[in-house]
Amino acid sequence: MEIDQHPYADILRKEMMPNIWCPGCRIGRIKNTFIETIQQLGYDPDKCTVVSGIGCSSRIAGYLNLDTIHATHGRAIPTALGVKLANPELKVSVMGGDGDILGIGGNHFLALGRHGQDLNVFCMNNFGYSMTGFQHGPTTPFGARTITTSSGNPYAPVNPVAVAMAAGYTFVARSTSAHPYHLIDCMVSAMKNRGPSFIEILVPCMLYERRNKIKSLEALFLDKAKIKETLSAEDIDQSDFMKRISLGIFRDDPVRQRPQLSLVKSTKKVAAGKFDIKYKSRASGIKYMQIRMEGTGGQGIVQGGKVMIKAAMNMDPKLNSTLTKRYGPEMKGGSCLTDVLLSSQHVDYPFVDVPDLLLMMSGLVAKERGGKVIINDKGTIVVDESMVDLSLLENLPKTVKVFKIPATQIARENFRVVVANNVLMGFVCKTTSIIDKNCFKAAIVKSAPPGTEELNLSAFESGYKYKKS
Amino acid sequence: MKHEVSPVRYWNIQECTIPVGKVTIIANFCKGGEDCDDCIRFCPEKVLERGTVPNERGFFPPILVDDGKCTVCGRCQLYCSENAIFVEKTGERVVTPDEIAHREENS
Ligand code: SF4
Ligand code: SF4
Repeated sequence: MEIDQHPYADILRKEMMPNIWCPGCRIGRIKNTFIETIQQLGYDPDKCTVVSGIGCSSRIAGYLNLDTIHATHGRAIPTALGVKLANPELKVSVMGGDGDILGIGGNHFLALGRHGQDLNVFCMNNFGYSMTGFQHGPTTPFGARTITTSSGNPYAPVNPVAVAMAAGYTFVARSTSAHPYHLIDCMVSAMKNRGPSFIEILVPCMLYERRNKIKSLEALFLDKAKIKETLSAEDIDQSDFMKRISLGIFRDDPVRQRPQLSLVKSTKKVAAGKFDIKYKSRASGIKYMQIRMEGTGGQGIVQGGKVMIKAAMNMDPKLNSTLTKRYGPEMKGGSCLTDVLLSSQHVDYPFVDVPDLLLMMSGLVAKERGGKVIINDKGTIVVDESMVDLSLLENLPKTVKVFKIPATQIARENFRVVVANNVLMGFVCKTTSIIDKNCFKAAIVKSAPPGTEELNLSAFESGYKYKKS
Repeated sequence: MKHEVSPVRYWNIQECTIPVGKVTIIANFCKGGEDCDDCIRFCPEKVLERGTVPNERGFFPPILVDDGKCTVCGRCQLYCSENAIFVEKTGERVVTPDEIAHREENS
């Protein structure tokens, strides 16, 4: 095929071509300038990533043979931020239109200026939502006709460059599709800049041209646009782009060093010395264990799950573990459950399917499920008999082990109701002997609010010592 | 700021040679016609012209009118949104003083 000899062939996704843009659309040219930029800078294509949202210009990601993501509408910047945080080595660029970046994803665009991550945002401004037939968008010029503003746009447009300057982007430039060599210059500088970079690229849209009876926006850009070495504040303004367009680099700053914040002081450290519990780590032999804690919001279900997972990790730091929690919209009194997974291998699904160990602090979850208690046939249930209606457990297979403790009652009589979860934990530790006692105690000290360590520990002890009378 | 174009595209002033290239047009990709014709418009050497034979999608891809004149500036390749045209350097040729004078007049 001839396309294989094309100098851009390495970076083009050839099986996707020919591309879908309208004849006369110059978005494809932005793709070419991006490829040229990568080639000029000598970047390894494996280290470049492009993230785009939805829109005509966002199709670029589909035609580049890099690792690209086509994200949801407007969410290109947060997706790119995630990529960058996960692998800071990558050069991450966001390609999108004005509707995607400034309209739907406007807040993310502002937030990136604050975050200060090294992302390059290339925003192709074609003055509206062109993919859906040209509705008016945030950058549609005053008085321009679109589908939704058939007698002229009554709203003033936003100025992307001004917004980016105000939001704190360290590199801000404006170019057009008719000046690809200038655009390459800007892109090269943007890629080199270590902070968030933004380039507004004006591109003509055929639909805009036809609706507004403009012969050729491309010719207009070539005619009216002036590339300037030094730009003044007036050049930022672009309200009448039919008369005057100033192109150039508005800002190219180094990234500011952040001052060290000393606002957050740890109060935890003070108490830690007093309750320094020694524990021994050992191989637990757990291959895959699903633990679920069910109850009512306010019973410390999430806290209990956290203690469980910390204790397990104290004992066998080689385990992989996840904690997920689910609760209803109510803060207190609604059903609530916490899933803990312990696995010797990587965890690819973080939710518990069928628990091996079920800790029930109330029957609410089971009742919502229609009275069904989900448990592995060979599993273990530890139930707070002062809270759970024991008739729920009647239909279980004989192989399921059930241990009962009136944890809430013990807590109410001897301590406070809030430590019922730790009474239950003590009992779990004793009856199941999956995790060592001291690992549990260290985990409790770590998760208890400062000053309540003693209370929580004695609650745990009383659960550990509980014997059915 | 100067953009850096790959050295093949620079003219060799000392030896008075300029690059000669081969232009390849991928007719099926092209969306030429009234709306595009960018390669034709931006080619400084006027090497291309709009063709008269439509491709399978009804567009008119450009045709080469003077093969030897392309100087491998790479503009058509960069400007073409469809990646339907590209150039490769095949050699160099010596420019005569007449041609230089002619170029200077027209520039
Ligand atoms: S620029 Fe590309 S698409 Fe346009 S006429 Fe030339 S070859 Fe065809
Ligand atoms: S490389 Fe330059 S001179 Fe050659 S055909 Fe393309 S635009 Fe014309």
